[in-house]
Amino acid sequence: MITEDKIVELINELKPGKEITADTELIASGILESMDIMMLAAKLNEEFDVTISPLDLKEENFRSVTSIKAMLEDIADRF
Amino acid sequence: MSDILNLLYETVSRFPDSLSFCDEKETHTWKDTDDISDRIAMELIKEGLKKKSVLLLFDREARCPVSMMGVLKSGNYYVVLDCHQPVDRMKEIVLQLGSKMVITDEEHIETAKEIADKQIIWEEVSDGAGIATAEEDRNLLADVKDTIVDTDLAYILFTSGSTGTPKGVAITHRNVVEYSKWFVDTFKLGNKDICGGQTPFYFSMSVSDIYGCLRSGACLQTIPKRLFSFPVELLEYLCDKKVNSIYWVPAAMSIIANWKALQYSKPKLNRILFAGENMPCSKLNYWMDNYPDAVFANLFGPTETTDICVYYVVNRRFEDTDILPIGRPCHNCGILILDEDGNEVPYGEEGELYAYGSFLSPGYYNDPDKTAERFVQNPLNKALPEILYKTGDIVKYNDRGELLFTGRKDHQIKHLGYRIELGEIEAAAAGTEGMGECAALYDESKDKIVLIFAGNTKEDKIMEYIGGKLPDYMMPASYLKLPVMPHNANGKIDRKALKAELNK
Repeated sequence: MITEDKIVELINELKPGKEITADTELIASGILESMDIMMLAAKLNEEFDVTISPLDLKEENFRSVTSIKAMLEDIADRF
Repeated sequence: MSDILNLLYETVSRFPDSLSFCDEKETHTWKDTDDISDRIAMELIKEGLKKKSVLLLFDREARCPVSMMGVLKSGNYYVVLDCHQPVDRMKEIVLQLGSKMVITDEEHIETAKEIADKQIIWEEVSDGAGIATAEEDRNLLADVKDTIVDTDLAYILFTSGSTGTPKGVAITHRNVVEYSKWFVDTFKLGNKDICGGQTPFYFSMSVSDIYGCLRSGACLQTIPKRLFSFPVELLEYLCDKKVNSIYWVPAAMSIIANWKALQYSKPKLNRILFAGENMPCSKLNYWMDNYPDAVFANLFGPTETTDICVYYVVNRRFEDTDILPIGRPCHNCGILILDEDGNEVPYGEEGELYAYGSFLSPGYYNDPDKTAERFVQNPLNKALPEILYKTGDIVKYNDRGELLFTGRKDHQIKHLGYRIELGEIEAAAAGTEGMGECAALYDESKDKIVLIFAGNTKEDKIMEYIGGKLPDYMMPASYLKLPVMPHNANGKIDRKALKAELNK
């Protein structure tokens, strides 16, 4: 089950102490920087048993928790 | 006598309409780089600044190197500030320098006002592109240029310092002129090249990008930082901008390799250089498989030798688990490998790397103690003064006569390509209310900084406190609280025991 809460939890593992809601701008606000997104993608793969492809790694897919969730659901639907 | 301005004027006259410095939104030619920098220089001269520091506060944008040229034309030297670091850390740097003037743009004007009395705003001076500089201004600029000596400072670059205060490495015109000559000659940079700049302008690797282009008439196309999160989009950007040459930190190259992204988009690269930390051979092999005809080189050295002092052009295949050599000294750069007593180590044995020659900085700005500690008389030369820089890097020769880096003497680390003194993190954390002893460690297996501490405080309190003092790349990724810190026989914090604690 892909939930926003779980995604927030994974982001907080990388960036402890940041207040994040479903619509927080993750990239524009600087919460997620270069290496963070790669590490987050690995965590998302593991947690939700999906395979994020390099083509899924786009700015629009990581803009907020909501967009990450939409991407993951989209990937899950592919299989 | 040759200073940086001679290099600029030669390139402007040879390639006036070629691109010089470009970013995602803005492009400049050498001619308009010359025009805008004239205007900036005139503003600085009118303010009466002479041989003083001028701050540059921009993001990684083309306007930053254009402004650098303005500062140099005015006979002053520049200091690029990381606009994303906490204002308190900026103020600490400004205090050391005593700078009164900052060049910035409208986006950063509020911060600029906090750190310096006077500001020059890019949007107000850049309108001058395309309008020829007035005759009398040109004469004045020529007069100022005549006063520049090649031992004058060109810029100061701040690196992490172990006592908690950043150290300002002073670099002269001569350092840059000599270094860029080596860089351009060795890697055969020319006017047709487009270099994809990854590193920020407050980081020494950008010196090769900027002055490699300045000397050869190549174009520096800076890459927005956010693209390093999105490998395929990053490669598409390189294709779109026709980048053929890169000089990146290995962490950035590893992103492409980890995601095998070159199968989705493949820019036409023929020169692939890297420095800043160890390049894993497994990642290098991925790149070499994709670019069998490109030149690959591993560059190595401290900010104190302008950018690097030794280099290795990759000339064979390596196993994934091999350690890539760092090669041999650059032309006009000398090295010695000495033991603790200042004697040369027998060939093939480990010792500390000392560097000297025309790339060598005159020292740390306004810090005679630290300068005396690291810039030392050559112990093998009793006849004349000869200054060597003690790098703190432990190296040895392999049986092919190539240098290998085997570790550091101190607690300095390389993380994401940045040089970080763990002591600076410790000094910042020590100010947290209730903090007992603390130690910052680097966990190599996980590529992260860990802060281990004892005392009457908590993780979130420390994070909040040091978040206002340290740039993001220096922030610990995890924290570990111990009832008491272990000590060794000398009474120092026992770092070996702490490492063992981490691996539990």
